Amino acid sequence: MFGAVVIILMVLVAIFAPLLAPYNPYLPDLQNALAPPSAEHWLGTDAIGRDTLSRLIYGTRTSLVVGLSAVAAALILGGVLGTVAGFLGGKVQTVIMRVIDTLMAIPMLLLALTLAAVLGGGLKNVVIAISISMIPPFARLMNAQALTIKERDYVASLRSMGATRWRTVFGHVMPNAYPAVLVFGTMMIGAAVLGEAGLSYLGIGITPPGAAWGAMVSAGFPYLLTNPIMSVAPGVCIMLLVFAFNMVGDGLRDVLDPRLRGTM
Amino acid sequence: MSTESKTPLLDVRDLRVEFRTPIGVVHAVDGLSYQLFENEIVGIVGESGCGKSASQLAVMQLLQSPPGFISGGEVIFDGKDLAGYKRNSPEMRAIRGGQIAMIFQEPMTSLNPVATIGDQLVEAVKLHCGLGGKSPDEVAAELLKMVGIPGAERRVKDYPHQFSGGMCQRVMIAMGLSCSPRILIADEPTTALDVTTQAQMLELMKKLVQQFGASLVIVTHNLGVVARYVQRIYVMYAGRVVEEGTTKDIFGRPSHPYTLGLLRSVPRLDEAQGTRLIPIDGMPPNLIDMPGTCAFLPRCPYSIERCRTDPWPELTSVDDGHRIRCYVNLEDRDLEPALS
Repeated sequence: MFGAVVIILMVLVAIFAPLLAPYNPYLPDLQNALAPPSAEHWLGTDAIGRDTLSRLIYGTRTSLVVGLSAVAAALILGGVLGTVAGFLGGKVQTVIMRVIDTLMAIPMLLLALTLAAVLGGGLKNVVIAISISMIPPFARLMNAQALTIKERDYVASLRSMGATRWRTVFGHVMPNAYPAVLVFGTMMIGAAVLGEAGLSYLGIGITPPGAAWGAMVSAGFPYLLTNPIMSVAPGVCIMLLVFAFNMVGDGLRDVLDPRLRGTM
Repeated sequence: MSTESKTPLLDVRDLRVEFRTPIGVVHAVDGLSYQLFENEIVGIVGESGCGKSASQLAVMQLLQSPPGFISGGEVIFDGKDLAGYKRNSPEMRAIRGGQIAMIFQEPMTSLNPVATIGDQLVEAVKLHCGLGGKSPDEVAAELLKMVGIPGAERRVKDYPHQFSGGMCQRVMIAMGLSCSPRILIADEPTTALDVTTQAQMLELMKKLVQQFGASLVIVTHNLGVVARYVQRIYVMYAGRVVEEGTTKDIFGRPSHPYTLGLLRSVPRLDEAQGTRLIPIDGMPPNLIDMPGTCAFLPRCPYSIERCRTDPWPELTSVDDGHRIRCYVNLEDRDLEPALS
């Protein structure tokens, strides 16, 4: 419940960011730099005087856009690869899944980091980097789902009615995998948000002056002792959003498959 | 038999199916031949693992491959050899569902749980014969009505979990017959249903198959189930037919020791109370390393010296259209002592 409320709030904030933000998040105001929280600037300002609250509000957009689109891309690409591999089996499966396994051997964030470093910063490249690094887990998940679903009787019965393999895979095998995908996908959005924050923190994610929570944590780091709110506020936002997606994922799992409660 | 002179609709000749497993090659179907004529209902009977299902899947080219392979034989349907087609070829797909349809053992799991009954019913129709200008829901409702599901218009929107096992099997029958196939293969269609539903299902299948002018193959391990509905029976053992004949032949004059054993292990209403059922001793043979001799030999109460030395006998006629695979003369058998 809590998770869903947080996500809905964050989505609303992202949509209505221009209305909610009290200041232009990109406009420096050097006279007001490093201001502590006050009535004008609720969360203070950063090193060049930009309003922290406004930047947080715009940062919500970045986090959600990256989280959702990276997971959507990874789900589609990884899902299709894994399902097709599982359904066809044999050499196709061996080739696809061994490549996926190789990618899986590299930690997700490290892979995203390398890709982002190669591709360069910017929203689009961050999404590409994170989605590629997330293909392996989705491919593995859908591969396992396809392997079990293809043995079900209704797949045999479809084949006996003359359905093509493609029709069977996309019309029947994939839709039957939705509970697992929904749960895993939701949790992976949290991971993608965290990944984006990590990349931005390290300075290879969202490029300045773009507002991103990770970059804000990093920017506030030198002033951690004098003006901690600069780093703490975006940090809390990251934590809340990731936590919310994980909670919703957990909740969905309980709803969709009560037998799995507490095992994953 | 009168049908003997006609060309069969489906002529399976010396079909061989093997499963290549890590511990050896399983000869699941080892030279099976059978025929199915127009408007005929045929039963294929045998115990678990005798190759009856594998042979039907092979006819449809639906064997899981690997490990299953058709290693020999012909499946002549309408003058063409189905075993010669590639399994995913357009020709084979047009046959499946369009010309030959199949109904499986587990009705509850043979329907996709996340699609509506209506969507699944019209899928084959769209694929093979088109909706003919009607809306998909109308077509689905007609099909449901045909198999006697009340409130058909409402129920097309239902999901499989809202149907009972018997209703699911009715849906499967409707789906199987939706494109007026020439042959319907029912693989243990009643095993998962309770006894009263079994009879209803067989009645329904018989009625519809006759109405559509199709032929029906009922695969089962239960001789009692088929007795009323089929015209001819093939009894299979270890991948081969051991006895074939009309239903009257098989029940009236069972001639192969295995058929005799099967019939004696089925309870009968007309038997005196307290009569014990006689089980067949032993276990079916391991299909990986089959002996060259008769596969039923280790369990056979009538075996003679020749059974131990000569290879598995060929099918020999006992009567017109009634053939068995056995060396032992019927007259020489001392039936009662051997069985008690």
